[in-house]
Amino acid sequence: MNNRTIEFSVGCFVLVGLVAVLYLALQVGSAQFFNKDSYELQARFSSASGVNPGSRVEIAGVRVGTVKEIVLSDNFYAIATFQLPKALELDDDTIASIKTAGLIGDRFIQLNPGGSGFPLEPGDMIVDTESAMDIESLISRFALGGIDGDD
Amino acid sequence: MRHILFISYICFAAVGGLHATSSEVERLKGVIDAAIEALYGDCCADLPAEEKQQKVREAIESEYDLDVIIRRAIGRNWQSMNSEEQEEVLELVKQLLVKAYVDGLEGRDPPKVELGEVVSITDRRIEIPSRVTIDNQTVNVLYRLGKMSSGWQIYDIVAEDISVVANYRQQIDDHFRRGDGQGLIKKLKELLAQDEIDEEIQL
Repeated sequence: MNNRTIEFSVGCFVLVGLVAVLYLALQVGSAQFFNKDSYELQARFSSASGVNPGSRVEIAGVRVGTVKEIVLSDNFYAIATFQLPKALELDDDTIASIKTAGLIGDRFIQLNPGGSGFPLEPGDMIVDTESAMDIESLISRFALGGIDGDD
Repeated sequence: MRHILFISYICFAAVGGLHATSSEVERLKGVIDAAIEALYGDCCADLPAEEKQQKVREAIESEYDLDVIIRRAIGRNWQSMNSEEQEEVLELVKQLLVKAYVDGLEGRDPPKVELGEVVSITDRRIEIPSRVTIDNQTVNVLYRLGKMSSGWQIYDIVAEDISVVANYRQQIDDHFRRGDGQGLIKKLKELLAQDEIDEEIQL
């Protein structure tokens, strides 16, 4: 085996190693470059506290998508953008709710599909939403007698 | 926190092709005032519960179509029922909503409702925020209205970030995973037959 063959073999080995590391990094980071099989929807919440990019989007407890980004709108609403598979068609009366997994678990977006017959198009915004329950606010209102004055 | 009765009477304490302006606030206020009058006014305070329910329903339906909210709550399960079942479920849920409202306010002081200004969401959707105070309890209630062929209609009511439609839809979805339209009708009739609806309506 001459030197040229050895160098070529080592080069191939290093190249395969680099590709493997790159693949691993992309998988761990959930990076997606080819989204031909998915589309994006937005949802408008008065509070998206606890939901972050990468948070789950579920229907009936099954993960169907991932939150891509959350930004603040001009009128101070939280706008969450999430990706869903193209095969999943939702109607425009779908309701998006922020839920908590267990008592202190991660927050995620739960979609409750409607049945209006008018499908949401890519980029459309769901405005019928339920925001995250603010436990601290509820507790303080109870403590101050704001909600249940009689109890 | 899924206390449908609580939400229902809080919300309906407040429920009762136009421009999405203050006229919609006035219209909503008119229905709310009429519904409260039907319960606490001189004409009606001593009426039996069934007659109060009828007057409240007339007040609401004089301006708003309750079918819109109920159809939205039933969602895709609507197609699982035949036309007779659809009609019957619509009627029973209407009765249930109104009964929950009247039962919930029985023996309480009249609610105070402050309506905020219209918030435009899209050209076909608006929201009217409100604060409802009953017996020293103050609850934020949001009315969601959509522009339909019959004008602006309430399609959802959200009390403290809990949506009436989402609440009912979740329960109705659960029911249709293991039951059918006839089963839903049976459960609704059982609920209506109760003297007083429990605090938590479970379909």
